[in-house]
Amino acid sequence: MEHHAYKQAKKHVRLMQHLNLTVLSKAAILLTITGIVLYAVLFTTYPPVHDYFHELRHGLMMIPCH
Amino acid sequence: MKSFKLTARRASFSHVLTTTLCIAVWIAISAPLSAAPTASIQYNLDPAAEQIGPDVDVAGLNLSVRSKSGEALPARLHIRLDAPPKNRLVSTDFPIVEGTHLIDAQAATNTGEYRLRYLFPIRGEYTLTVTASPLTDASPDAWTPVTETFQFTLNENPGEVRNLLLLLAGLFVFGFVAGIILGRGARSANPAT
Repeated sequence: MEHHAYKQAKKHVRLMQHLNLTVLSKAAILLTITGIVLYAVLFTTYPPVHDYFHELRHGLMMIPCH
Repeated sequence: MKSFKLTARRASFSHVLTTTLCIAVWIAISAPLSAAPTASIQYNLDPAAEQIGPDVDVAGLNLSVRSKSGEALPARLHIRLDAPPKNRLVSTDFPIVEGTHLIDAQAATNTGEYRLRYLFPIRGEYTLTVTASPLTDASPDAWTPVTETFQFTLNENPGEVRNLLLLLAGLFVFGFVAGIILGRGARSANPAT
């Protein structure tokens, strides 16, 4: 299992080394991922996620919970 | 002779008009005095509004119905509490209660005092409308029903404000660090520029 993970990581690094992205694309990817995470944690109504972060949402003053 | 009669007629007409006006003014002034005695409603929050944390502190809402002379009056109460209105720019953590009726209840008190305990859900300006009427309408000392509206504002919990500021500071630091990393990456990829 560990060997498999190591191989996978190595493959990932090799792929990344040959991946040429502009700063704009990198920034767009970063903002998209950040946006998805923030939406999931603070705004989604999907019950399993909402319930887990319920108290956190109520503790943040202006994050609408329900 | 004719002009004398005309002047006398004019004088008597103005006299009647003045007398009528005086009577009308006297009736207008004395009417409220002869009506049923009025009452007033007082309210207070325990603890004070500034010290109540929304959704945290259960507060006491004390109502008292008194006559103008300060005597407690047994009364039937209609209590209505409206939540703060919706703000289009900034939400609270309970948007579902914004701008709704929180309490619409009937109550009665023999002592003129009524106390209820309530957990106010959100920050903002609440509107409390209380109507007090005599317990028994047939009572000889029945007073005129009175409706009073009060407004009070609750502040947000200091802890929640701190948490929000921490979140915003964290996001700012994250954005700043990400910007530096991306900028450095771009510079090392194009060293000539």
